[in-house]
Amino acid sequence: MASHDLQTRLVETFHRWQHDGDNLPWSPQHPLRHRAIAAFQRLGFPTTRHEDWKYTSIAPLLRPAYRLIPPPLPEPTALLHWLPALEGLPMPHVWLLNGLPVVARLPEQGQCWSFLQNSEGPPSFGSLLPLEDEAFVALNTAFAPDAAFVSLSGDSPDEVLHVAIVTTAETEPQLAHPRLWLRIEPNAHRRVLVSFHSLGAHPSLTNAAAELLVGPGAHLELVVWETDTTPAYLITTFSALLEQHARLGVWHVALGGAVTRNNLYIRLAGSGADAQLFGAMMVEGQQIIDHRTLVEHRVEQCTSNQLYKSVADDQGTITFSGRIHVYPGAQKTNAYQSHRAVLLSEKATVNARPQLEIYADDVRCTHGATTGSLDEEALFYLRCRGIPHAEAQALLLQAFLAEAISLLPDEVVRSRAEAVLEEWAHHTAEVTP
Amino acid sequence: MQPLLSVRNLRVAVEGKEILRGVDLEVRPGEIHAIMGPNGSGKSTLAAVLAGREGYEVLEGEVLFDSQNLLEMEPEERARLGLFLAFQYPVEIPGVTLATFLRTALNAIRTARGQEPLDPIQFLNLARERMSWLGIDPAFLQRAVNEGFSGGEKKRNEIFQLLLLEPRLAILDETDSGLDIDALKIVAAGVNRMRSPERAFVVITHYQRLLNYIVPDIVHVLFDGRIIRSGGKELALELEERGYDWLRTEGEELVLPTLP
Repeated sequence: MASHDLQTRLVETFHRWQHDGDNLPWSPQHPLRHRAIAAFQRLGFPTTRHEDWKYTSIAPLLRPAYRLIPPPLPEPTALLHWLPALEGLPMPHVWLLNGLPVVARLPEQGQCWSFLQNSEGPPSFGSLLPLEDEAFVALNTAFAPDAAFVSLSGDSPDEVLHVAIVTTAETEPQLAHPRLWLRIEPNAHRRVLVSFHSLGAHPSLTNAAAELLVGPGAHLELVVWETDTTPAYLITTFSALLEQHARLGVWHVALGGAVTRNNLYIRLAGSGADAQLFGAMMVEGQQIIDHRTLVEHRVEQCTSNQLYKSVADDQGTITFSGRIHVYPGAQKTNAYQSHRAVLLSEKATVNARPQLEIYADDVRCTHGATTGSLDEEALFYLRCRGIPHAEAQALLLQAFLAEAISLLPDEVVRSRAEAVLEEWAHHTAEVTP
Repeated sequence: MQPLLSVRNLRVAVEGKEILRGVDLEVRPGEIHAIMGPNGSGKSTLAAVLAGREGYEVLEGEVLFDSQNLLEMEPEERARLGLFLAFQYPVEIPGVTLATFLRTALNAIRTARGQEPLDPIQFLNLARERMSWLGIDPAFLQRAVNEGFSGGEKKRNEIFQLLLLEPRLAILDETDSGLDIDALKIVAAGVNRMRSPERAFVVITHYQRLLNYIVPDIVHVLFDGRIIRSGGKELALELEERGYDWLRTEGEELVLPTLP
């Protein structure tokens, strides 16, 4: 019933905005908004009967009495208080505070703006996300108070554009809808970090949606940082369009709050495009991470590769659903997918669902999925050299996970990620008998 | 002199099948023992039980290492007390560099001995020195443990670890298999360099060849789970010449005394 209550509250709130007017930078009268609320009303919140939500119940996400609108923006200096939550990541260029964008500094070559500056938004805005089919995308589109638009050009891979997405639930539960639109201009080569942070002791649900447009010959290296250990709920949808000879690398580092659901959709729409998707995912306690990828090979001569590493401890659950869709005519496609998981406890769960849909004949498309425990032989070998059991286990876990981020190009972010994996591996090894 | 290792009437089963059927062995500091025997005689089982591998059921007997009950210890405790096993099949560990692995190991052992842990620079200097004794390229330190190493490189790496960790008792389980004669000489030279009045070796081998270079004080023949004969280094030569069959009939009737 909670789902019904929240749905009703949301729909009522939206209609009140439309009727009474409001102060939202992204107008409730914007054409996308009408489609979004209609889609949301039609779809409702998904249940486990829904094929794409088979393994993850969102019932607990819908229970808290969320505040539906963002609290007012704090004074800029208040942002400084939140820096420790950034765990040593680079200073953000753009904050999305409960969905409200704040540009803190400008990238060297590129622009950042929002609906405040341009009430229309970029022409392609909204076109990449499956608004009609996914309740959370529809919800984000109906309720995001504003959107951050970022356009990057030039060849400055060393500058990492950092978007920090913060949800605050300090005085009451908070529902937030951060929205990002990012374009890498033709032939540009850029790095972007999107990090998620939930603050406060109350539950929060962050429902983020992002569109990534990688122009012809452009190269985007994107890190998605999800290392909140607070009991936060996180739903992310990243949808990317790659034009001719565009390249995209995505690295997810996910520790799992209470429930994390990632949707990563890649559309290879220009020949010669290449997508490389990586992820290191870790759960313990009763945490849930549900990671879903969809790679669409729409045209010929595109390549894609996926490597995901998961570790589940205690009663944690990791679900990986990876779909590769090769369209008719997408000849010379080369697609690979691998998900490898380690279970550290008998009560931990890993669900792996590789799905291949191939409608072209000259295609190389393979996948592999393994789930097992740590290599006993390796553990014994390390212990035989005097390394205590827990430390040997941590070393092996760290090595197992680190493969997923070994190609992460930015040294600063990579070493932060390595430290996170190391810390998690040691922490979990000590609490595992 | 107190024995460093004392194995008494050790009976061990694997998956219900008795493999060691009453082994007695005493190793004193400074000694080199060779254990020879045909395939399936229990040589590797003995090494595995001494190192603490799981899956072995001790039916009877005891093993004392430096007068302490070895069989009750975890593998890492045994290593920290100074026991070392050079593996017959060294394990590949993707993602863990040799440097990280061995610095962690060495510092665990040093801490147990009451010594200060080595910092990365001190460790590298020591590791490079010991690698040079075996002609190993120091670049191996930055490679994943045993990953992509040739058979010979893996064996050499085991001996490098021995040189680095400086155990009191080293068990070499078929270290000679897969080594050509040049590599064998290098490995043997490394082992000989470690010989000292305080340190003992148990060299397990199928062939006599290695014993030309690591000359044992005592040779034991392990046959069907028992040590059926012990003698001086000339016993190894005799085994090389005559094989094991002549002992089969003899051994099953006679209980031969071990050396005093």
